[in-house]
Amino acid sequence: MTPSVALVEISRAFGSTQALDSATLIAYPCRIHALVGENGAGKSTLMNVLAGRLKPDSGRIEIDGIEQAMGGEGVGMVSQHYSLIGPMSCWENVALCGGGLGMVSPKAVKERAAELAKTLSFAPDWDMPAQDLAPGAAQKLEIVKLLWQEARILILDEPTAMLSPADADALYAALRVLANSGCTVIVVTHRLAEVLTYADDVTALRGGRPAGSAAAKELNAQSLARMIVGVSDEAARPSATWVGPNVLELKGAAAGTGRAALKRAELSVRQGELIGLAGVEGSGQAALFRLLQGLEPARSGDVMIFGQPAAGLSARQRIQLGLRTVAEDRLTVGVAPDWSLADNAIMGLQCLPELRQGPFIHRAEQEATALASLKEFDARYARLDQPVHDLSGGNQQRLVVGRALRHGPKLILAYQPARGLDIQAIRRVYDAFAEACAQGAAVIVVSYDLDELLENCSRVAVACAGVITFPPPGRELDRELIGRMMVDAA
Amino acid sequence: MKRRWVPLAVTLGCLAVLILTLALAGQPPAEALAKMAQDSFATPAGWRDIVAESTPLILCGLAVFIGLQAGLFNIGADGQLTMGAFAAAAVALAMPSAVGGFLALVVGAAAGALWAFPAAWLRVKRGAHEVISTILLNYIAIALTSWFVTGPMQGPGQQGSTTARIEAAARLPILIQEGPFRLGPGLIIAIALAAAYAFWSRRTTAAYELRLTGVAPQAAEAAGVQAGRVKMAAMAVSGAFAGLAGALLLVGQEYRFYQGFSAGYGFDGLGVALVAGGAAWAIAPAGVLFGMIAEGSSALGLQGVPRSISVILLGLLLITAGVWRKKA
Repeated sequence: MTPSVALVEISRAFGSTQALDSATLIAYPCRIHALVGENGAGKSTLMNVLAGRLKPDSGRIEIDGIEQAMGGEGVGMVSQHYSLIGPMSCWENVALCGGGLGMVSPKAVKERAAELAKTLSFAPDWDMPAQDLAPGAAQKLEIVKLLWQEARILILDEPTAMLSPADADALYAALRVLANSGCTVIVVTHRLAEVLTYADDVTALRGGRPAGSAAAKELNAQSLARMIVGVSDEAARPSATWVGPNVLELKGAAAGTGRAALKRAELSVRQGELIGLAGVEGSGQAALFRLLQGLEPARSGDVMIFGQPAAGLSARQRIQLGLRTVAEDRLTVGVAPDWSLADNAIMGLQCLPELRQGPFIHRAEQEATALASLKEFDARYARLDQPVHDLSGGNQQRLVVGRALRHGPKLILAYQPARGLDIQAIRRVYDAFAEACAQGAAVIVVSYDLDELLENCSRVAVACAGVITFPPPGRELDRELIGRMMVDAA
Repeated sequence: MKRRWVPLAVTLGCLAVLILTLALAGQPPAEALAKMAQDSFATPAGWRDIVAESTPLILCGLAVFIGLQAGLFNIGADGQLTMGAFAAAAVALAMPSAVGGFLALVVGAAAGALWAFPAAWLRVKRGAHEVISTILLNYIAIALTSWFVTGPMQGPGQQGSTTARIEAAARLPILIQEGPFRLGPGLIIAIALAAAYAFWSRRTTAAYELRLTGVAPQAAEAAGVQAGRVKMAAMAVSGAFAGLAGALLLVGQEYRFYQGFSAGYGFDGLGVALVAGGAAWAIAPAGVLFGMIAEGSSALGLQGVPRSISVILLGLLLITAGVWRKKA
């Protein structure tokens, strides 16, 4: 069979960084192809070449057996951050993809979009604003946009990052239907379980070079991990051995307003515990964090933090008592993108006595904090005075998570700390959290990846429609039960 | 290019534009510039005027700069300056002594702060945009003071809309007098404050939190900073600098308050702050530069070159600085 995509020995450099070095990917129609690799392995660059967004320095691009100067012909890509225009309706988002002669007939657009969406078992209200779609539905609307443009080669970058297990299953079922109709589906993903369950073929990249490709059914978890990182990946996690007094006690706590409000949280967290908080996006996790950070008052219920009533503690006092946060939205809350690494490394810590000398910032301590934050997970950088936006997303995340571990954390709230990190870095993040727990801290991790939480946390709580609770005692790591609780079907 | 060289590059670019505009105005650029340099920069009278112009420009530039650091665009420096000068006049007229003169500066700064504060309060508590509210406060300041100087505070025997002159005892001393050249404490105070601010801004935790509030208010809140309070405090300090500029003008130079007191220093302060870019140390040099441009254009005016050339020049300076700011 002729491959629908043949990217052969593609090289591409950005300045002095060789992002791709003779990378090769061959994909066939009617199949789901997984592209895997660590952060910075060149996956996104290669997909940008295929989508025609980047011109390679050298290499051959063939689509359906015909050589092309650039990619893009018949190729559509859904990026990790959706490109939907929130306030516009679903059908308008589709119509924006063009076609026709500049004339838009809402009725015709809706009819054709509905026709295309049928293959995905997707039937939204086309007049609803796109921002009101659940994450899984938004992903499907993005795919409808590609089909609208008659793309036959579909690229999805981390499509399940924000989805619950049930939504992820449904998405892959839809992708299978598309593949069966003759499309080539390429999925970039970090989730190895997905690769083994749903993909037909796998290509791995390492440092911009090909690291192997195989049929998925010939691989198991271990051989796949070895293909990605080069070494086998085992090592059991040190589990927290002791558990101290309560750090956090929430009884019927509510905060925030709107769809993503926290309606009722029943949580008690003790020193030394690494707690996972599972749930689909917008289930009240962000409101819980804002409540605990002191950025939002409790509307009702009891909140005790560090053994004190939370209402009496300002955000600053909580930081001084040892609260650290890895923010949900890195670019607006986690860092000031234009600021230097050194200045970003003390953000949120600047009010600690260790970092002050009277009214002045303690310069030596600032530098030490910055170096330690960057070194914690080996973030790659050039100088402490370079702006954070110079760093790749993964390296920014390393800095932000590294920062949360500085100066004696007592309670770490980490919102998707693994976001954009590769397997090895994720492992190191959880190792560092476990280490902090062993030192007497408590950690709460929000993630949309239930498997990641089950694998790493001592207990998992569930957020569903604003209600946060633990599963019944003894079943805190019961995947089935938690999965059902996440969609309110327990 | 490194950010710190931006002000210098902008200055050189403007010189090039100046030469071009002179040529367009039909003056041989070399001769006109030589004459202008002679009249404004090589005579004591020229330097007296540059000193006089630079003082309020530096302080208004500082006022706008502080607002920008907190993420607020203070277009109201002119109104705050007017209120500062007016309050200083009231104090100096009531207390014709050295103490009264000093108190006039303090009260002038306080009046400026009070005039700026409502704009910040409305922004933080009600979401009213400070650009609109400070512009409106400018009009109120002008109208209110005009009414006072045409009515209750009009100087006895004055035909025009002006207060009486303040007594010599309440005026600021003149430190150096060389022929027509005069240097009072005003410029020294302005430069010292700008330098102190630049030092404070680089080193202190409070300045870190102020700048964080400006660039990323949500990040500031998460970092334990009460962004709303910081914004209000920054706006009050901003207004205080503009008010002080007015008070210094009054007790150091004009000695009376009259209708149309500000020659638009508050607006030129926007230019000073924008040219300084993100660099606090550059405020004083930028203020002096604006003073020199103003003086140079008066000198060119005497040679028959339209004085609006300085407006053109400043406009271009601002656009260039603005573009650079965006890029950096």
